[in-house]
Amino acid sequence: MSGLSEIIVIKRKVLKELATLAWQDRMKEIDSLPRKLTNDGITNYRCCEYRERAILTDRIKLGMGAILEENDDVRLSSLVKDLNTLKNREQTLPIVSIIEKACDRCPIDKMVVTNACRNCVAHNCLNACPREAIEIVNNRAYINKELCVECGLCVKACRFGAILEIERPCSRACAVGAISPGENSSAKIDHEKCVECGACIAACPFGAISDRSEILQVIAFLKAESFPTKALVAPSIAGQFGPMVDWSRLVSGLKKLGFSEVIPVALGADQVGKEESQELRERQTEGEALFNSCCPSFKNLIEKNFSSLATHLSKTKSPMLVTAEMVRKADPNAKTVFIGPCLAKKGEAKRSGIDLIDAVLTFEELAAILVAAEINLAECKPVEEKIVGGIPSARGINFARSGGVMTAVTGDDQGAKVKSISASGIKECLELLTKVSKGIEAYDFVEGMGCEGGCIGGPGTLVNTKVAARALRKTTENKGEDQFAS
Amino acid sequence: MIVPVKVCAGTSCHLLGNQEIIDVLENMPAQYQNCIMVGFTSCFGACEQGPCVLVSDKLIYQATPEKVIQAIKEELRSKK
Repeated sequence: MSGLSEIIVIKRKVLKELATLAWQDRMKEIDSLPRKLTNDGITNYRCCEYRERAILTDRIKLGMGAILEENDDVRLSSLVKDLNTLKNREQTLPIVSIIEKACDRCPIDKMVVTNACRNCVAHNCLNACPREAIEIVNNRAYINKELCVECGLCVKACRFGAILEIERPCSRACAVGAISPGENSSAKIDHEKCVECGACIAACPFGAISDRSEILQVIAFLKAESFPTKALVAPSIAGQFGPMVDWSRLVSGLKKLGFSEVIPVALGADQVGKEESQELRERQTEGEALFNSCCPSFKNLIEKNFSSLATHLSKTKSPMLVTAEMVRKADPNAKTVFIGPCLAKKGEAKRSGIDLIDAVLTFEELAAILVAAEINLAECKPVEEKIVGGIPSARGINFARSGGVMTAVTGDDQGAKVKSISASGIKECLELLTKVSKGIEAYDFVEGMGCEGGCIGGPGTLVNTKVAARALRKTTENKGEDQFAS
Repeated sequence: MIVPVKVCAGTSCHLLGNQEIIDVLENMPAQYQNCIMVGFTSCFGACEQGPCVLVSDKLIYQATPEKVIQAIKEELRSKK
C-alpha cells in the first residue's frame, strides 16, 4: 500500500468513530453517525449531503461486518442486535464488497474517440481496424460498438493519440478478472473468482469497494470478562505503528486495551518453515513441486484458477493457524484475534480456521480501536516481560516479505540443490503459474504472495511497503533477546 | 539556519496519515535536507485535529505534506 488517499482517510475516520461508539457503549447513537461524519467534514465529495450520508451508512455497515446486499434498507441500529446474535460465521462470507451507491459506474466502452480526433486524411484508425468497426461520423472517427472487438489496434494507429483505451480501475486492478459491470452497470464481484487480495479496494478512486470488518466483535471480546482474549500479531507488524512504537510498546498497549497475551505469529512461521522444508525434501524425492500455502490469496488463486496445480500446495497449515493451535492448546477457553495486514486472512479464518481463529483485524482496524480507547502506543510504557512462547527467528519474521518464505523453506544447505522462485502480487503470481501449468517452466519450490512485496504490501497496512521493509530489516538484523525490541 | 520539525507519531495522528508527511520529510530535495531537523513526539494534545506537525514554533493541524513544506519555506524565508 502506498500513498494516503482521501478514500483511506475516510475509511479510517469511519472505523474510528464506529469503534468509539462501541467502546463507550453508545451504540444506540449509531443512527446519527453518518450525520456526525458529514458535519465533521466528510462532505462535498458527492452531489449532496444525503448521498454522502447514504454512502457513509454503507461504509459503517461494512465496518459493523454486515453484508450490504442483505441489509440495504436496514437502519444501522437494527444491525447492532443482529451482530450480537451472529453465531454462524461460515455464512458471513464474502469479505470484499461493492458499495453500489458509491460506484460511479465508470464508462465501460473500452475504446473512446476523443476531441483530439481531427478527421485526418490518412485515417490510420480506419485502416488499422480488422473488423471495419470504425467509420467517420460528424467529422470524427466513430467506433461501432457492435463490431468492435476491443483489440486496441486503432489506439496504436492514431498519430494524434486521439483514441483512448479506458478500463475501469477496479477491473484493471483485478488480475483474475473477477470484477465486471453488473446489470445496472455498477461494478460486480464474482466471488467464485475473487481471491480476496484487496487490489480493487486500493484501485477504486471512488472508494466504492471495501471490506467487512470485525471490530465490533473484537471490542465485545475485549469487554467480556468470562474469557481471555489473545492477540496473534503477524510479523509484518514491524514499523506499522510509526517510528516511536516497537514490539514492547505494542504489547504494552494491547494489554491495556484488554488482550491477555500478545503472541508473535512469527513463532508459527518458524514451525511452518521447518515443516515445509521437510515437505520439500519429500516432494523432491518424488519429483514433485511444492508451493507455499501460507498466503491465502495465492492459495485461492491456485484453487480457483489452476486446479490442476492444487496438489502442489503445501499441506502445512499457515503460520496464523499454527500459532492459533499453540495458543488454543495452552488455553482452550481463550478467544483468538489475528492482527495482520491482510484481507484474505479474514476469509481464511472463516473457511479453514473456524475453530482456531475467532476474529481477524487489520493493522488499520486495530489502530482505529486503539484511538477509540484513547490508547496512544507512542506513550505506552514498554513491557519488560519476555515474549510468550519464545523468541521467533529472523526467518520466521521474514515470512512478512516477498522471498522470505522461500529462504526459510529452501534453507542454506539446500539452496543450491533446490530450484526455487518467488512471485509477489496476484498478477505476477498468475503469470508464473500460467508458465508452470503449461510446463514452460519448472521449479522445486514456488513462493507466491498475493501482495506486491509480500505481506508488508498488504491492503490493511498503515505504512508504505518501503518503510515497512526498512523496519522489518531492522528487526531481523538485531540479534538475540532484543531483536523484537526495536 | 536549521528549522526544527516535529511530527506527532502518536497512534491517532498515525491513523490519520502522519506517515505520508514523514515520508516526504525524509525524502526532501538536497537543498532542504540540510535546513531541517526532523524529530518525533508522542502527542501534541490535539488528536481530533491530526495529523499534527510542529514547524519551529508553529503547530499545524490537519497537516498535509503541502502544508508542512509551505510552513518550512516560510520559516526559512523569514529567518534568512
